[in-house]
Amino acid sequence: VTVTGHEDEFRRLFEQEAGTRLSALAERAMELEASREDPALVAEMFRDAHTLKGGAAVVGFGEVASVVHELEQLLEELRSGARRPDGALVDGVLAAVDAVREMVERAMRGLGAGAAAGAALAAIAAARGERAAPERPAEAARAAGDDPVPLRTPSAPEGSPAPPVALDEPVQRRAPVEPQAPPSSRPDEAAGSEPPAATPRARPLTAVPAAPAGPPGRPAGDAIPVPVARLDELVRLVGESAAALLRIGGLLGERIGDDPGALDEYRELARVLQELQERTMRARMVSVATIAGPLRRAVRDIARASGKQVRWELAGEDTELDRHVLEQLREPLVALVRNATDHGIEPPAERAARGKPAEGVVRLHARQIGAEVVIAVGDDGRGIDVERVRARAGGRLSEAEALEAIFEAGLTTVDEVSGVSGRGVGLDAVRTAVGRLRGRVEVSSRPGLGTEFRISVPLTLAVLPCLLVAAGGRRYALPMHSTAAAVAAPPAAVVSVEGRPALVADGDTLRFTDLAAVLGAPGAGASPGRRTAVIVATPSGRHAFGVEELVGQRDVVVKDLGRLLPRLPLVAGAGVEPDGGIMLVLDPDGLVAAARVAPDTAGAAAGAAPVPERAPARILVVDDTLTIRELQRSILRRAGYEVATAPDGDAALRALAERPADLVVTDVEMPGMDGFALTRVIRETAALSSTPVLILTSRAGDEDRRRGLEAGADAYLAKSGFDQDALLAAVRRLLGDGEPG
Amino acid sequence: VQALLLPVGADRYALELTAVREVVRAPAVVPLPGAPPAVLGLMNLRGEVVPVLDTAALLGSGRTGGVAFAAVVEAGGEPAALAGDGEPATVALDRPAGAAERAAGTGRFAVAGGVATLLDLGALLAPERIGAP
Repeated sequence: VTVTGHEDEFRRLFEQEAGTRLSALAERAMELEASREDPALVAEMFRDAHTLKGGAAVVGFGEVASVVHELEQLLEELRSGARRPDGALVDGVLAAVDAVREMVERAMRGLGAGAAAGAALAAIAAARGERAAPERPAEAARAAGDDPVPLRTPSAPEGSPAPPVALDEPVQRRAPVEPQAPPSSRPDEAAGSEPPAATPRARPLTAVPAAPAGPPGRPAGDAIPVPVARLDELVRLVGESAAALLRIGGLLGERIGDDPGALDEYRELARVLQELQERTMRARMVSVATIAGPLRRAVRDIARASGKQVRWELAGEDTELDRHVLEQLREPLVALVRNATDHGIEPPAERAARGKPAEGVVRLHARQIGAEVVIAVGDDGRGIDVERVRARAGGRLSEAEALEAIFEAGLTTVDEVSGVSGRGVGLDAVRTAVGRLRGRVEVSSRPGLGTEFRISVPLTLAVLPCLLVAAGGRRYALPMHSTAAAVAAPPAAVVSVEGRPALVADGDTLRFTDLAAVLGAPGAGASPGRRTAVIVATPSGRHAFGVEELVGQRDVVVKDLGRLLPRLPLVAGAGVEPDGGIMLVLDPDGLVAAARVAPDTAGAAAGAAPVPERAPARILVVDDTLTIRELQRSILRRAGYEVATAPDGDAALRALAERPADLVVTDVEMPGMDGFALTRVIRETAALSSTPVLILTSRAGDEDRRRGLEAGADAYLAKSGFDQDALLAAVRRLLGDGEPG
Repeated sequence: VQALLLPVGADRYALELTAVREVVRAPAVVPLPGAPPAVLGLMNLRGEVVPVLDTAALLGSGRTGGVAFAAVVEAGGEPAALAGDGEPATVALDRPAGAAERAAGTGRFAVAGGVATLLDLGALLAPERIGAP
């Protein structure tokens, strides 16, 4: 196989691989600087450079190959122990990486290396402690291994095509250069195979699905790079399929007079489409590690430039979130780590004077909490000078207000723009960018001890787990992550406290407002007997909202309202319902803010719960999420059943031992004993073995369904498609068709 | 110019046909809490969520009675539905009848049974016209 005729394809592949390898090289260089001597790291770097050189030669990028050859020489000195991995060496490697990146980019556009080649060679020479002296071509070719690959020196005429070379040869020769990776290790893990460290530390930036080993065009293992546009297209098509299914359902209803929900085939298709949608969304998620490289680099460069010693700590880099969300976070995060390094961390002398270790720490910690990802950027530096902010803001601010003020445009506590972090985005831009992602940013600071910025963003802007409620005769969705609980709120539970309606729950008194009143829905306050209150928790506080009904819990595919409309404080987005209706997704922060200023409504409307006449069937609801437990309790109670609840499998067994139930409804994933194990124990316990079990889970896969039924469950209901009708239908069926009791 | 004639109250407004995607009869409109008065709510157009706007309110001439018909238009790539209270018709605007007074109008044309004002969608759907919450 020769390159001729396939240049473009091979070059694109090389460009892709070069990007990955160069990132890995930079990452490893910084790792080396932090951990000093590590022969394995040096060997990996050497391998990266060697593979790059081979690839560049194959696709005819002679200038790139010869510069990388110089880099390889430098790394060889490191490997042999002739050179120590100090700051100057790492400077050289990083500068060379930057320059090679530019050269590759130029070469892809058919341009010669320009100034980049000279810059790269100068950087490498400086790192080697030599004057720039490009090697002669013969030497370069010899050192490139025994590959008969013609290389050109940087002085060769720019843009002249390299002669076609045999592809197979360098490929085969290069293979033995990768001895480190054990055959069993997956390609995306091979590079990150350092031993687990006690403190969070950086991992090389290799989580991207590209092959660290092997020639361009032959990604090893089971990962292939896919253009994002293709994934976006898939998401769009899946969305359209779901919409088409809804229309077909409507048509079936109209033309045949049949409820499509009663057709197994229709339900199956709906289920598959939903799963497809979830998986497709998942495919667009990327890990925080994919943006960690530039962040670490920013910290390192600023620290070097300002003569500070700064250690970079990274934790939770495997946390995944929507690619679009993560991309939008890149700049704000770079701004935050720059600030932390430049303004947060003190110079070594100042740290010593304060009795702190000379080396400062800048850390990034990512974690998924419910449907949100929280990314914290912290430092152990001097903290925010609240006095100074007060002086600048020109007002008497509380400490919290002063910390809030730093997000305002034009406010800085640094007198001179420091050249390094003075450029780029400010904190006001950080907040704006995070706000666009429906996220928020908070800051905490302790003088002399450090500062931490916490960015919270939704995992994805596309799918939001929601609690569905009815208020003012309409249904609304409340994002699950901000609903703390749902509690029964009969008229008597709503009391007047200090002139305002309030609800006592969990030993706390919460302000209570009719949801319908906040939404300005017609008939607000007139509906009889509020039966449920949903407690909404936001950074600004907790608030109880009275709703007429808890309808269900479901993932809502949230669409924004378009650019034509202004941002509405009460509405976060809208989803299209299976019946073609529109479900508004409410904005919890906006609701709480609006409820605080809304005129108080008395929650003391009269109304009594219907009391079932016969002894009702008893159902035990097992779920570790309080809101879901209460949601199910509320639905089942309203349908006339007696309901007991338990937060996990062990508690469920204790409850059953105390008093048996006619039906157990259980979640799968719970701490301690999970739903499958609970089902098995129930089946194996003589006294309980005939109790029907309904498994309710967010895991919709066939495998889970099979496991559930194997464990002895009588029915299986996916939570993602769960609503009260489906739940009640399943419950009635399992209890033998009859009405409650 | 081929145009869609949308009756709004006693008036008739014309929209360039190329900007009109379709006309929907009596769509279900979900009101949006906290939205400015010119925003009547949202409708579902085959899976797409489209804001429904009060044409009369956008023009600053009172309120449209209801959403008997909605003309779905596109402005800057964003869909919007304009409420009308009579059935729209397609007409050719070839008899000019003077300049428009309203800022979002680009001219008046004689049509069967009266005069219609041709609207400039970009101006009609500008943020300051739609308003803030």
